[in-house]
Amino acid sequence: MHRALKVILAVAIALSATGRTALLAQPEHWPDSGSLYIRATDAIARQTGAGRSFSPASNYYLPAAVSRFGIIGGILSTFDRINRSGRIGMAAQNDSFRDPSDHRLHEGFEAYSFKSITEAGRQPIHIEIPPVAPGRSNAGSDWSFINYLLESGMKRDAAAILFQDGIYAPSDTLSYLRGLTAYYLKDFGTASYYLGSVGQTSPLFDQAFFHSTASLMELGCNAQSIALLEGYNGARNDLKRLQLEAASLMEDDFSGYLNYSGSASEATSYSVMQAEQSLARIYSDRTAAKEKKPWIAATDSAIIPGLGKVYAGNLSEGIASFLVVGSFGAVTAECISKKGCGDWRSITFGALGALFYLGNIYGSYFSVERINTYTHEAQNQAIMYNIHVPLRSVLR
Amino acid sequence: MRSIPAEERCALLHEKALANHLAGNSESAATYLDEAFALDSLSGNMLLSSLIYNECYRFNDGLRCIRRHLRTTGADARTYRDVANLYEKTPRRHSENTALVLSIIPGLGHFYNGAWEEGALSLALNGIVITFGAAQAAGKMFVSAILGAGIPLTYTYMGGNSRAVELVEERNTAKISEFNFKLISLL
Repeated sequence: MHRALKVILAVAIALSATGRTALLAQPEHWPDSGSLYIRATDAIARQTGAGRSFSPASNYYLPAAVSRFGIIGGILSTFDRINRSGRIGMAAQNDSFRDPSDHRLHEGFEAYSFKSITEAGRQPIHIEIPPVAPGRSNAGSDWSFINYLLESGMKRDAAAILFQDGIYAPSDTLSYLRGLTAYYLKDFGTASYYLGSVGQTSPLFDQAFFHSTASLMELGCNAQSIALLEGYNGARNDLKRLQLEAASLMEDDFSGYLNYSGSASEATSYSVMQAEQSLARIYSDRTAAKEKKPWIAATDSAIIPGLGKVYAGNLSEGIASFLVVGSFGAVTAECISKKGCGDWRSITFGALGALFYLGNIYGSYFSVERINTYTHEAQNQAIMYNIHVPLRSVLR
Repeated sequence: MRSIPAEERCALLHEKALANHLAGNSESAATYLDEAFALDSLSGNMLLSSLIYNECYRFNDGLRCIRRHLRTTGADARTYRDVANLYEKTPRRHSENTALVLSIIPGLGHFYNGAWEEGALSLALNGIVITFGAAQAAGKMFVSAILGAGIPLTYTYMGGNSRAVELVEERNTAKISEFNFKLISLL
């Protein structure tokens, strides 16, 4: 027993000597890729195919997490992260959250702290909409040509013509076409600027107005969008109602949502009706998800490893935790029963198994918040989808 | 495409080849060049075509193009000789299948690509896991042998195989960049 402990201590001292500079890294500064610790772990990761699920990879995450959450939180969150990064753990991950360039999930410390990812990533912006200048004409000499370009997917060509100075005189039609092109190019700031400047007397006002409020919602300016929609007095009350419902759902303003959806539906087209039904489903999902508690997830995972993650809503991570902790448990049990507690195998497998077990409890505690945030983001994407589709089918 | 005259079509194909080359897709670029040269074997940028063919390890076509480039630029006899000498010692393309077959013994696929340290590391990792598993099995500790060594072995063994295949790609690209760099420095 003494010899085994001495060996483990010697390895730990050697590791801490090489990893000391890395372990003291500031959380804002990820460890230097030239350090011995990173080079050694990277070399092993390359030979085992590990480290391809998350960015930053877990060997970069560990030192920075230790200095951020302290030694216990840092190590436990890293073990949970390793557990999640396997093929089974990633099975239920929504692919749309991965970065398309490297197919990794970009995730920093926010996954293990109670600060919502949405809040960190999305700053509220207020876009100034210029006042409408009087006496603008509605002439559109190239109307059909530009529309042809937009409908056949040549959006950049349309933008190249529309955004050049000196080709067209300023008019509501020009603002509308510029805004619509920017909207299709997903440049929502420009889109809301030009679409918002189309005058109320223009026959294009309805189209421009609802596209501009949708662009504002894409930018996260839901409150501004609601204020604009409240002031709308035109004929398209079905779209007004749909967008108000969507904006209040995005803001998590459930009483506002119930208020807007309470009256009888005025939907005249199939796509608006479908969108309203989808929003109602998202509303019920969102109110149901609010009731989950982190401490229940942690207790569940302490009783049966992975159960807390299943409770939080991620089956694959739960199964991965169960298999990994179960395997380490089985190996440790066999080593203890045949070789005794002091054997180096019992100590090594027991220690690793314990870290994975505790990491699974720690991760389950935070997974409720994390999975809620991911679900929230996915629902927001679905809400925006339900805004964009009716715009295309109703207004064009 | 049929209504376009042959010259314009040829220029278009050369542009497509350039675009694919810049996007790092040299195989498609070479296909477009083949099509362009079938229409008109004399037009187009011969130096660029030569580099593209070299990237696909098609050195006969590359040499043909670079000779035509030298003729049009009026190079001296020494450059002709140097280029001919360079094409005598073209790099050989390594095959991914060979690396995969060699990787049956962990590390051999790495050695094939000249990655000695990585090969040794892969061999050592697999050696440690297999030795541990065998020792556990010999001591009749079968749960430890299967779970404690079998699962890590899937990572070290399969990971080593896929790393060997990656190394083939890296090595082929590095060798041909070196060759093309030498060729440009001769001109």
